[in-house]
Amino acid sequence: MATLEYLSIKQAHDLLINKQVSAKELVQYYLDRIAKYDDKINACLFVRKKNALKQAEKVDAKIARGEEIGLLEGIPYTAKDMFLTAGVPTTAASKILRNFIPPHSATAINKLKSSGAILIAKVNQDEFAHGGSTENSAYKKTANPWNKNHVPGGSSGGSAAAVAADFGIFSLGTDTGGSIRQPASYCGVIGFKPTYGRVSRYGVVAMASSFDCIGPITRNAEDAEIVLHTIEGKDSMDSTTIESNSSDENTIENLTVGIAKEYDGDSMQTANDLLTSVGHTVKEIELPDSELALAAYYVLVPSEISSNLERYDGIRYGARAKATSLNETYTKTRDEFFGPEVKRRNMIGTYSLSAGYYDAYYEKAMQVRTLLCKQFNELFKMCDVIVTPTTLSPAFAFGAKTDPLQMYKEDILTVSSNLAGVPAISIPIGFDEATKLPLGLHIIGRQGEDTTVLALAKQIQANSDWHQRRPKL
Amino acid sequence: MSKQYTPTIGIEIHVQLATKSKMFCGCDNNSRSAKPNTNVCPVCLAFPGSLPVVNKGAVELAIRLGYGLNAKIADTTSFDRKNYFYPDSPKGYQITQMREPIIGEGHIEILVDNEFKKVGIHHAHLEEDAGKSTHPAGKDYSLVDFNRAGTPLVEIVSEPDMHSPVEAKRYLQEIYAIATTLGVSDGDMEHGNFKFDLNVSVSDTDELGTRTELKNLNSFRNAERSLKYEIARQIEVLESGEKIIQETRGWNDAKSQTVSQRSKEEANDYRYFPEPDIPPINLREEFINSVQDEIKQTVLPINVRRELLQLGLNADEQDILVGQVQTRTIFYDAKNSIANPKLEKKIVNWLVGDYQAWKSEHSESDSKLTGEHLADLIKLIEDGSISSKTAKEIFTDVIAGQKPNEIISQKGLTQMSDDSEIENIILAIIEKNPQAVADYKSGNEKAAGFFVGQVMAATKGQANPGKANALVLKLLQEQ
Repeated sequence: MATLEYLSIKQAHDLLINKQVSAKELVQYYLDRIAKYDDKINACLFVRKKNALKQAEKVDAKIARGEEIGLLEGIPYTAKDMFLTAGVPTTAASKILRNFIPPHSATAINKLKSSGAILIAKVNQDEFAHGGSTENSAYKKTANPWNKNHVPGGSSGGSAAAVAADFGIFSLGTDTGGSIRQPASYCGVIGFKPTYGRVSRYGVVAMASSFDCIGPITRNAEDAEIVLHTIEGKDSMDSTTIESNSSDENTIENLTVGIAKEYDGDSMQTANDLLTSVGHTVKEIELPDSELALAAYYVLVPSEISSNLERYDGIRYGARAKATSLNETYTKTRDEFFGPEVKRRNMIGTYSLSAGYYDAYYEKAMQVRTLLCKQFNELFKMCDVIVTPTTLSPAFAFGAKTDPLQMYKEDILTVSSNLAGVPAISIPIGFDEATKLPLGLHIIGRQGEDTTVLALAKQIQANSDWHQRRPKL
Repeated sequence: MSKQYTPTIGIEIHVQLATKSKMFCGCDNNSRSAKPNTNVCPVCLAFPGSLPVVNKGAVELAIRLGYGLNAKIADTTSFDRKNYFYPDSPKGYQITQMREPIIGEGHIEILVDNEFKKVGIHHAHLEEDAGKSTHPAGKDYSLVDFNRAGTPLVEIVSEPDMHSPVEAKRYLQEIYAIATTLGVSDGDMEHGNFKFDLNVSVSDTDELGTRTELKNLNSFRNAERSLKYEIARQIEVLESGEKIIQETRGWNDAKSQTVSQRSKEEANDYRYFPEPDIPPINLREEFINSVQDEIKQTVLPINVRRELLQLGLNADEQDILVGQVQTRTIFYDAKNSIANPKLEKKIVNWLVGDYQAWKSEHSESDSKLTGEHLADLIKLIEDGSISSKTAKEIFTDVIAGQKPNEIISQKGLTQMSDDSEIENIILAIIEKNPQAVADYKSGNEKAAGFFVGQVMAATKGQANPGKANALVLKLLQEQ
């Protein structure tokens, strides 16, 4: 049998159609790998063994009959626990959804299913995606495969760790303020956040509705592109989805790349040299005020969170605390089964929407958001894409950021693209000298120009090999 | 000497829309015969990750209603969240419209004491209904049925333009008539398709007094009664030197009084904010026009009233024709069919009299009465073919869908109008009753009635009573 370690989608596909490996063997390889290494990494919340193998058998039967199979058919993947998966536990890493088994799947999961991809595990995250280290999971702490004393980032930390540890070929994550890109950066993989509305949010546990984006975490940019084109598109179940043109192959010759002058580390110099060497023009720009963006983000997102979490009341599904009155049912259920960060954001959001605070907080933050969108539009008149580091530093050690504000600052470079709804990716750009941990390059594109961002990421990968380095598990 | 107080009333009405499906999901909008919690889906049960999608049918019905309210339809309309916890509110918030309601400023006319009066509409907006909670007596639990959750509603908010309970009642009836006439709502009041909150204050100056809100009423009669009570109560409070507390009150039907439910201090902070799951909707003028063109042929209720007023109908009679869409359709069809203005009042008499009596014991859906058949019936009476008594007797058959002509020929009910035939019958009766003839001759004119009665009996009621009377008098005098 051919070596199965760290396959790309195309490599796995070729092995399948050339009958060098069966789909069942492929699934079994990942199940074995999870069994062997996940007690160190702790990425998985639920592993889908029997049904994943059954699904693989069907693909094998198809291949045996000589039928053609699609690119994703038989490709094993994992999904963040935010995605509803029919018949498979979905908890959003919260105690309040312990034992919740949804009757239907998210649109993205359904699209992957009909293209033949095989879900093998639901993976860890910060509870309800509130956090940047996956330490806020109610169930377990996921380790960074590059250094198990360090966090994988978050909130899609389980997804990034699973992809870095080769528990599946790709993973689905969600990104509200950096939750795909920051863990991808920390784990040395690719994380792509599409334009807002490009991928349906239907059936994905909501964090902040006007920010949430669904996207792939992969080991190369080509895989991210394949997954994006599979899950994107207008959905009659999500009014905020937009029609996207899959065939918009953008040429990326001689792009004008804006580089923010305030970030000048080694990784930015590397990026600058690389981009120039492949024929792009690098231009120094001034980014919109990221402190202001972060402040607006941490008013608007908790506001939407406080409303989106109201449905977890212990009445219809999920956990319910023992209580003697209606009010006690609400307060005890939400007190017992929500974690501290979820409660904190609930409180912030409830205050910022309350009478007497609304104008000073929510309304003001909305104005900042509008202003920021304008500033991005102006910047994109001067350049085609903007690059920054994905994070200010590499993955930190467990317990290093106990102050919530310190943790919120983790998002400073990523929240702006969620406020503006523009596409952005994190790709490996090297390793930190001191810690030997991966560093990420953040590429932001114009609204709707997701393929430009992906094409540039592919080009950078064709001219570098950071994405081919593997952690020792 | 007590001062002169003027009441001021503003009304919020919740009209349930007659759409096929719910406001934000594909579930059936009619759950009347469904078992609890069977007409539900992940969206109206607020499962994690479910999202609302606006029902185009509800938007269209709101646009229709806007026509009836003489209101401007918004170019851009959007939704907001109203947050509150209650078991029958599955999402923990209601999706409603606060900033950009679909129906803008408008007005309607109401008819009070034969005078037309304008009432302003502040705005009307789309929203969803909640589920239904029940609290079984003596149990330590409550039950929730989510079948109703997500039912589309329009809330119509009036200006505070009404100044008496009867004006308020007339306003409610007029809105009801508009909504049902335009097919916006089924108007099933028993099932809560038309509910309202009444805001009322009294003042003896130009400035408005502190108001109270009478919540969740669903009958016109109780609207009037509760307002009368509340106005009197407020005046009494003020006269005793105290202040009105701004509060929500309910109507206790059994006690015939309003009772305090919640004061302003206890009111919820609903933390309204723009609904991020639904982008704003741009309503193009062509779309609005195409929706309203469908209903521009419909005669609006107030114009029906104008016509009925000219026919001399009182308010109660008007209400029947205005309030019952089917009855009104019969009226207009009969009117066209009979094509005689002098007989229009007769059509009305049948519809507000005998037809209402029938309806009180039967279901409207069993009626096959058409305007044409009613017109035929009236024509048969007018040309003397049948008596009004016969007409009343066969009316049930006419309602059942039979043609009046066919009924009378089948049953042999044609009125006897041939003079010589009736004369022969009278002569035979005179011969058999010499004593009665003598009584008449001796000046007892009432005795003539005896002969008429005998004629009707002998002809089984088929003799034209007017004719029988005239002939009896003529023949008695000849004796």
